[in-house]
Amino acid sequence: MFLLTSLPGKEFHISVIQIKNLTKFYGKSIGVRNLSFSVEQGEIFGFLGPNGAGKTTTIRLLLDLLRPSSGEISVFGTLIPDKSARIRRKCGYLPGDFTPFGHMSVQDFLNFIVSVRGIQHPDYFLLDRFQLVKELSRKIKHLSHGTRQKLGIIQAFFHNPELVILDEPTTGLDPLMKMEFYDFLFDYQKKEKTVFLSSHDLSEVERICQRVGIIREGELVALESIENLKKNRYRRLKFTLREPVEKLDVPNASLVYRKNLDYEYIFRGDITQLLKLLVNLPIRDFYFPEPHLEEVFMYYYEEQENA
Amino acid sequence: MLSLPYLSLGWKLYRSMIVFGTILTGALQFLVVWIFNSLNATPLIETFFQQLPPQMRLLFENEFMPSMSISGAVALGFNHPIVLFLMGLVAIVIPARQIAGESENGLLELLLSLPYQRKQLLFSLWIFAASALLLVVLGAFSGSVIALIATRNLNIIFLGHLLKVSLNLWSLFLLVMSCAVMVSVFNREGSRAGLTGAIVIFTFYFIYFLSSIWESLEFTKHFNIFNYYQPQKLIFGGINLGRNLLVLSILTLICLIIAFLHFEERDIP
Repeated sequence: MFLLTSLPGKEFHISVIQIKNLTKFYGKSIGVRNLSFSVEQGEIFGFLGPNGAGKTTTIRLLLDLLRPSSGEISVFGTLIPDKSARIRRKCGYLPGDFTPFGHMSVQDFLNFIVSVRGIQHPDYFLLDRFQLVKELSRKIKHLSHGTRQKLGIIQAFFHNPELVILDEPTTGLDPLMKMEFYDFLFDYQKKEKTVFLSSHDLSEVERICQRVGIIREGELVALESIENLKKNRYRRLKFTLREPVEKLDVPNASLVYRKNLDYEYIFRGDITQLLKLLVNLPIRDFYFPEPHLEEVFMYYYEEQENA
Repeated sequence: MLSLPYLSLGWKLYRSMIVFGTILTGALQFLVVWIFNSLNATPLIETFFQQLPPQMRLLFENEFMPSMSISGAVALGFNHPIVLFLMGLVAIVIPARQIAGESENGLLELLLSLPYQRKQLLFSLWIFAASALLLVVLGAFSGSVIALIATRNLNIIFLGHLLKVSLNLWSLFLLVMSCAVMVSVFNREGSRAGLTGAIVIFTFYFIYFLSSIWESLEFTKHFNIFNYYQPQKLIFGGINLGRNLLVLSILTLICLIIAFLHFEERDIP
């Protein structure tokens, strides 16, 4: 049975994943602490955090690979670990470090997946979409990292699952294939399927997810819609002047780096005033680099401290 | 409960080792019987035995070749260190690589993200490894039977003895394999699990060897798994197959219960 929850914007949502007060210790060190959130049917949920934050631990707990120290996880309304094999039948999973059987050919590996999952109608269209048809006879150990990752994506979606859990899925993919993958996820979402995706790439999460959970050092720092995330997060601005200026006062921004005519600022909030200032400066070049995750977290730390 | 795709996967992974082990044990068995029958080796072996120190002579007579006969040659073949080594290799390598090794390289995570129950995976692995061991034992059995047919020594009683010895050999290495399964579920590195399993088994074998030539260690035989596999005594009488099978089965069951309980609770990887 699915869980019905009420969230702003929609009357009822069907919770595909529900996590309550989840904690996992590895001996004395902490994996995740007191996590609580839910993922609704038909959404692409991003799980954002730096390396070692607890993303993979959470995913492994979801798949019943790790046993929680305390707390509850339910997937499709069923508590893990009850009937976890049956739940996994409806899930697809791409591990963060996808290392399939190297001695097998791509075809043999997919046949193995088909037979284990008892797939009646494998989605062979995926092979075409991710350009893997030509690689079917090659042994997996001879594939490049990117091609192996594409195989990982295909095996996760091969049985058209209700829920797909992807641990940093675009690692090793070239930019064009990343775009194709994002398009594919949007198509998938249109079928009311759910995607749980972990990443440390903020722009990726912003591009494809509707909601995001931000995790750091095992704790959920924030659970936000992407709109809020964009609105609240810090950005970086880098620019190079053609000539020195007497006084440079950038509103609502802090100077983090300066060398000769190169400047780097960090700022948050409305960009309009900043753009107006830039127009009046002798700018040679400017751009907004991807912020570091720590900069994203800064806002949430401030929020927590204020609270 | 049993996963046929997993058995098929195991066969793809280990078929070379299993086929090699089967052929080698069969060939060795054939050669031992054939050579003994073809050459008049009895005086040579007896002279050799007489040169040995008394305790070593006793060991050879008790453990390897109690009689200068074709039956003694068959018993020697089934208790030959090469056969035991090959069986041990199959019994230890498969669980160590499939559980601890795959935990190490991430394959176990991938497998258990598929709709497998943990006990189903472990059970399928055990059945696969047990079948692999059976094939190697059948290799030894076939080698003996072919050699006995070729030398016109096969009769129904001998066939019965061979079946009993084969069954005993299989059950001994089912225990070794189950012990390796147990060690592997507690490990996250294939090489370490394999090494631990090998050290445990070798220690048993070494102590058994010592206890055969050193009287003060004889009491340890009752606690040694190799005491429950003595082909020469099965062929020439003096030991009950049922007793051997009972002890080995109980120990196998204990190892498996511990392995299943721990595997159900452990973190992957």
